[in-house]
Amino acid sequence: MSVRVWKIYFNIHAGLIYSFLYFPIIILMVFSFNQERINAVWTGFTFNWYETLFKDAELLNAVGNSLLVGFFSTILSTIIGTLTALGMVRFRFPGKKILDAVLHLPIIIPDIVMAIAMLSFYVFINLILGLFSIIIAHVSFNIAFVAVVVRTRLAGFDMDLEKAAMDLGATPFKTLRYITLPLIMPGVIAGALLAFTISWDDFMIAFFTSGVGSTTLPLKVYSMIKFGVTPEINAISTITLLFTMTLFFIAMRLLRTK
Amino acid sequence: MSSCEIGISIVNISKKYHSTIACDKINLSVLKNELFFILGPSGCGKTTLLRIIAGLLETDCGSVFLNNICLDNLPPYERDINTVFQNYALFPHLNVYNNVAFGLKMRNLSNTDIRNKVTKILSIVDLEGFEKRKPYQLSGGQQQRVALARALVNEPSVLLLDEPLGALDVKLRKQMQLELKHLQKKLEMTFVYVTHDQEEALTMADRIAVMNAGHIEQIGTPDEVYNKPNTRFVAEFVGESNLFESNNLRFNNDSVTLTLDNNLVIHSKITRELNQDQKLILAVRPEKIRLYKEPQPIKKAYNQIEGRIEEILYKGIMLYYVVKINSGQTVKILEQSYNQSAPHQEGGTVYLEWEKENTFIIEE
Amino acid sequence: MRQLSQKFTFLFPAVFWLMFFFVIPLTIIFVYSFFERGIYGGIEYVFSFNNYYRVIDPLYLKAVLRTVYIASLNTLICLIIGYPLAYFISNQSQRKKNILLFLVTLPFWTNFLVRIYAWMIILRTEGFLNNVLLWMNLINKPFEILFTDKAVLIGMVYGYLPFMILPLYASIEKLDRNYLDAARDLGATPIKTFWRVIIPLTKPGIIAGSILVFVPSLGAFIIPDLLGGAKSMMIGNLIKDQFLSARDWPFGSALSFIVMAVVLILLMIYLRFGQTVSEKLYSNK
Ligand SMILES: Nc1ncnc2c1ncn2[C@@H]1O[C@H](COP(=O)(O)OP(=O)(O)OP(=O)(O)O)[C@@H](O)[C@H]1O
Ligand SMILES: [Mg+2]
Repeated sequence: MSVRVWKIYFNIHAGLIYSFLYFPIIILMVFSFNQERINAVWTGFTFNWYETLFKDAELLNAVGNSLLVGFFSTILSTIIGTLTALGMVRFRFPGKKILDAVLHLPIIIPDIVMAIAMLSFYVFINLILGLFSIIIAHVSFNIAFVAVVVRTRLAGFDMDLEKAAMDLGATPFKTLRYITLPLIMPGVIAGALLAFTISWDDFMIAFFTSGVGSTTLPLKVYSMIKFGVTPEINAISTITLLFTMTLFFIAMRLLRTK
Repeated sequence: MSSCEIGISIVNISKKYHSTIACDKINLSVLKNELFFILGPSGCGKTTLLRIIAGLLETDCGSVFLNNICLDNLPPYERDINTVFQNYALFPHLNVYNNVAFGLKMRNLSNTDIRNKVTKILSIVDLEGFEKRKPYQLSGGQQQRVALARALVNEPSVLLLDEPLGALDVKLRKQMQLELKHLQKKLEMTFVYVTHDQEEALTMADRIAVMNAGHIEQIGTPDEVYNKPNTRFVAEFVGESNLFESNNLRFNNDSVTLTLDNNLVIHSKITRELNQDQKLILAVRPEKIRLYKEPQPIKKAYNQIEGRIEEILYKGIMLYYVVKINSGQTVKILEQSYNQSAPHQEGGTVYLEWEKENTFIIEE
Repeated sequence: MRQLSQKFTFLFPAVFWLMFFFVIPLTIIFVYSFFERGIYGGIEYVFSFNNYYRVIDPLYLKAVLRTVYIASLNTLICLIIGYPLAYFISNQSQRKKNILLFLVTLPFWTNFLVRIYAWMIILRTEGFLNNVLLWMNLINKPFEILFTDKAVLIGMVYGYLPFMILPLYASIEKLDRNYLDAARDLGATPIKTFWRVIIPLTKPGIIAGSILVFVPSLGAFIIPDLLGGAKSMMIGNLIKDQFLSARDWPFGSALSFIVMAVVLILLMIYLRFGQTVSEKLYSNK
């Protein structure tokens, strides 16, 4: 009897939490199609807000910036992160533990600390803030994410395969190209997708390290929110959410492929 | 048969992992076109030694020579040596064809050449029609043959095989053993073949190096290793042995005589140079001893001892006797059961006899 | 030799990048935190501990204490509502487990700003929650919740709950069911089993989850900025102000470093001294 009561309780509890997690997202999406501008009451279906988005030059510019930042930071961090993961798995060297800790630190330290540190650094070396400065900062923490994901993939990798390739006459580069990379590719792509999502979604670091004319999408959304809650924000938020959810979904599928 | 030219020689190779010594100052030479075996128990350093020859593992000291050229600064991909890995290490993302073609592609051969060679080798290992399959779609035996083909197709001067038949069932293993031996003779290639299966080594090898805990115990033909083991380890690891130990040891011109308790005397012939300061042990294989119910006429060339049967065990067509001799120790004896007119009984008195030549001398 | 050049190729890029674009920047703010603010907002290069003393100034101490208070409360709430869910998930079939876990992590990977913004739509005075409550006649005039500490707390729980659930799940999942059977066999009631057996055995997950929630809570900026009022200032807002409006970088750096120090200490506790990050991360896989 009491076991059944517990079971019912756990089910309800889980139901409530999942509702809590998804309720705001659903509300946001639903209201992005609502005709009413001010009040949160349903008055009818419309695509209006989406249409205005596509006419908003500033917003489109921000999207372009975000794509640029995402693209370049993803490429760089994927290359560096993958090499790092391979290196960390393969080699022993003095100071490995320290590098290991430093490598994971960007994931754990609050992004505001990272953001002001980067800002101070840029000002210190007199770098003019812009897309470039955002990209550099994004690479710093994305290296960590890519390395973690690729290392997870490498955990199931048989190192003898590389030895076999070399034994058959493949140089280290060819071994990497024809054996190692193809086998860890799902991990690399998943890492890249996650890096892109993180970069695409980042507000904090861009907030501190962007310069004139380098507004990214989250910065634009932030200023829109500060200006007042409007259905256009709901619309752009919906697009953003669906975009990253799709990327994440693909990444997870890839990580599970054998 | 193999020529007398030296193919591979290993000079003073040592390798340590943390505190484990996997190879301890190993020296050996493998002749050209020889089927050379490295036989040893699990964990004795066989795989380590093969990897050092292939260049996949750096040594702590020592050198490897191939055709008198030092390989020490040659990376694995520039050595004319290929390996069949213990766990096959087939590339899981490539099909059979591409696995086998991998080495040829790395050498930038033309596509037609590659196709011809791959097709030919696949027919040799009896895998025609499997080209498109991925490794996980193959049975253990088929995977093993792909691994073999992948290495053979490159026609290396030396092929290293690391327990290549380990995963196969007995019947398939026996069949593959024969095939491999024929293949090796046909292709005229040097094989260095690692196994922990003494039977495999004894039936296939031209020569065997018996390895134990990182060092080589003895190198010789199967006949030498089996009939004239030099060390206690070889005597016990390769086949079974009855060991006789005593401090009462006498050297004659061409023989050694050992006196056990109760004045039991064991004779042996000296067939190699012995270090007379070392402790010596005499030994005999169980199947070299014959059992009689009555005392036999004394013959000069034979050892003769009396004993009592403690136990009789059936081992297929063989009978296995445990006999207590007068010195108090037990001796194992193996006889074929079909040549027995009057079977022995447990508890019965028996007379053991074997040729002095069959007593071998172990140095400790 | 070969090995050496390979190590270099693989690890040099990361070492170089993290050195210049992570370690040095952190070092810079660390050094700044011991300097003083110049008259025009620049940096006066005189060494002092003043910035660290200033944290105790009532003006700032309030924000610091509120941050710790909200972060702790958030951690506690996440633990209380996260534990039963983690337990629930671990009791499902493998297929369901995967789906349920995926659903927990999915929001985490989406835009944080946007998700917090969604709560603005809900909690606004003319927002969804008030409208629904009015419509159901549960209240007769809209109540103010946005721009209060309550809203901040809701946002915090919402934002960081997945960090709690995942490590909890991992440790509950590892729990050997035999212990539970043994406890039941010895006559323990489900509640006693829970307190005496399950909780102690899943302590690593509880600690990990708590740290993972507490750490980002300390550095939260968007949540108090969007959902909190002028009175709900947290360290994150304070740091931002020092850098962008007050132009007192040394003080802002000191604040950041206090947050960093707490993070590092907690991380050290998490790693239980000696174990490396990797061992923790990859050993159970
Ligand atoms: N990478 C390694 N790190 C540490 N120790 C190792 C490593 N590889 C092998 N060893 C140790 O070195 C010794 C020799 O190992 P090796 O693999 O050469 O044995 P083997 O003779 O091939 O055994 P098997 O017949 O089981 O394959 C063993 O004791 C093993 O535990
Ligand atoms: Mg081995």
